[in-house]
Amino acid sequence: MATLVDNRYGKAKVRVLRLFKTGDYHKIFDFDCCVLLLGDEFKETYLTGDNKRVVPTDTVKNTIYVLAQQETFKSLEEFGIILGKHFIKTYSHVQGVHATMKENSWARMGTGKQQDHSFVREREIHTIQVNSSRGQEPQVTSGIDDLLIMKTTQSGFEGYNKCQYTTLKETSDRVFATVVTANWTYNTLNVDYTKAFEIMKQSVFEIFSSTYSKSVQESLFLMAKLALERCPQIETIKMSLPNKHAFGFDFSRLNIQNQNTVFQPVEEPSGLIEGTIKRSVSSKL
Amino acid sequence: MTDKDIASKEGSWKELIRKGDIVDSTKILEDEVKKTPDNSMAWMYLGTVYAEDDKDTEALRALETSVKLDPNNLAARVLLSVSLANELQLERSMDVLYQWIKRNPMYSAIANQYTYNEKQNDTAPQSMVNPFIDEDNPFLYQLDTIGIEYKQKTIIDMFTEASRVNLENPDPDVHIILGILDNVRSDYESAVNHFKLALEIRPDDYQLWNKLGATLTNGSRPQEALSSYYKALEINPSYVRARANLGIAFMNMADYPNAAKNLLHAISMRPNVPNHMWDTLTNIFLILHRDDLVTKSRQKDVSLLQDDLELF
Repeated sequence: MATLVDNRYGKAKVRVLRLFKTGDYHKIFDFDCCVLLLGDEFKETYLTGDNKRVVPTDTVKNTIYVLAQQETFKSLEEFGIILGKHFIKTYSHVQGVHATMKENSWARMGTGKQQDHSFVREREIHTIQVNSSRGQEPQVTSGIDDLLIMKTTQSGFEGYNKCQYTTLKETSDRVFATVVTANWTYNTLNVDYTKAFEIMKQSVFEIFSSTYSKSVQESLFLMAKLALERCPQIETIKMSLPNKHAFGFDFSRLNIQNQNTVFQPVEEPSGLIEGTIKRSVSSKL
Repeated sequence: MTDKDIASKEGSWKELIRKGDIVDSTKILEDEVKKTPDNSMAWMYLGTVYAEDDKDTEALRALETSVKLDPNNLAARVLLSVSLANELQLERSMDVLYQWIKRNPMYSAIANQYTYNEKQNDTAPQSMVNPFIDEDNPFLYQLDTIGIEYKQKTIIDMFTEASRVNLENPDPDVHIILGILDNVRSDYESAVNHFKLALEIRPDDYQLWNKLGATLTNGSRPQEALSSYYKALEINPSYVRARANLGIAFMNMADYPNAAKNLLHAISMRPNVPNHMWDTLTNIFLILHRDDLVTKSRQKDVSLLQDDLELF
């Protein structure tokens, strides 16, 4: 009559701030962590309420803090791998671990010595997903979220399909604003994740700022392509770029011409452009 | 075994590989390394046949062993650096080649003029930098990218200097290594020039023709790669890697029927081929929207696709 198809459980939204102190210099990881455990034997409590195999979610939470203090890591992707490895090693009935993290970006503030320990929050979020399974290599997905960027020229949209419902005017000079979301996977565990994240971000910035955009689609592809070129360890990139429209204000009823300097940003609706770009198969020497 | 025995044995392995009967030579060499596990040359030839079958993971293990047994086995070092480059272990690939020049009496003086910081022991990593990486898997190796550009420049400078030692009679090995190093830093144009130069001296080196083809394809010139692969296959018709690469070149040219045909051909050449070849074939069928063939290729059974081979 009723079948438990799958299940996972754990602790979500565990807030952690971890400092690595090298003398006066502090490196920080400020993140929100979710660890979910998977395993056939956890079915029992769903089906009969028998809790003997259940590792309490409170223990999961405590473990996150214990490992955060005990372990050394250079990125949260590495911490995610450490978490997976710990639960699989410690509890023989855990078959898999899904660790998801959202890392807040903090830029260093001031100059000289102040930079060691003073920070200012930036908008974008670094996302991390590590799926670990017993006896297999962990699957790491990194991402960036909420990266809001805008360019005020060097963007257009022309030559598109027109029909009786088309009212949009062609333009070769428009404002282009978007909130970048990207997720990417790797072809190896041999990765400097911090560098991969930086490469992704810089690829977005470089294409956005230095090329004329014929469409959001074209820019999306170029950004991903550049990141694949610069980071050989990245395998697949999934990108989502909403087109946050800013239309020239319609002065026509006031008999005034818009000089292409006053716009009306429109929150909703937005265009939404998505694509997945995969590294072409490489030829072996 | 006397030196003479060893030499005649090596000659027979070379002959086996040259004849292209890889199934047989793999078997013979696998048995040989069981019998004489400390024979660096046997491991090297075993690594060679694995690489020719496009099995880099296996090739890597065999060649690591070969170099570990005899750090002065320079030929094994070149092969190892290629497998490492194919597997994107770029820094290790450079480190292995650094030891090549350092241990080569002809060029060691050049190497000694430069400061080059090796990551660690140039054979399999001794200690894992990261506690979360499996000790059982020596191929997971933490890459520290700081300073890697500088190392790249240093090692290329070293080999460029070596290539100028005798301009009248260029050393093909030095140019092959420069081609590998250029591939590592994605300078495909320069790599093409080095491989072409080496091919003038070794026109019958089918592995080298494949290297040229792969470099052209990776550098977005798949059309030009075709003739290199045809040349490699003309010399050694059962060279699986060149056949698979030919399929990939067609894939890059968006000629999917020819891509599928060559991939399938490569797959049918051996009783067991590495998974990545099946994955590539599946991807081609996905692009062609041939769900029926996708289902078949996911089962990794070549007999299921035998009849479809003629469709392409």
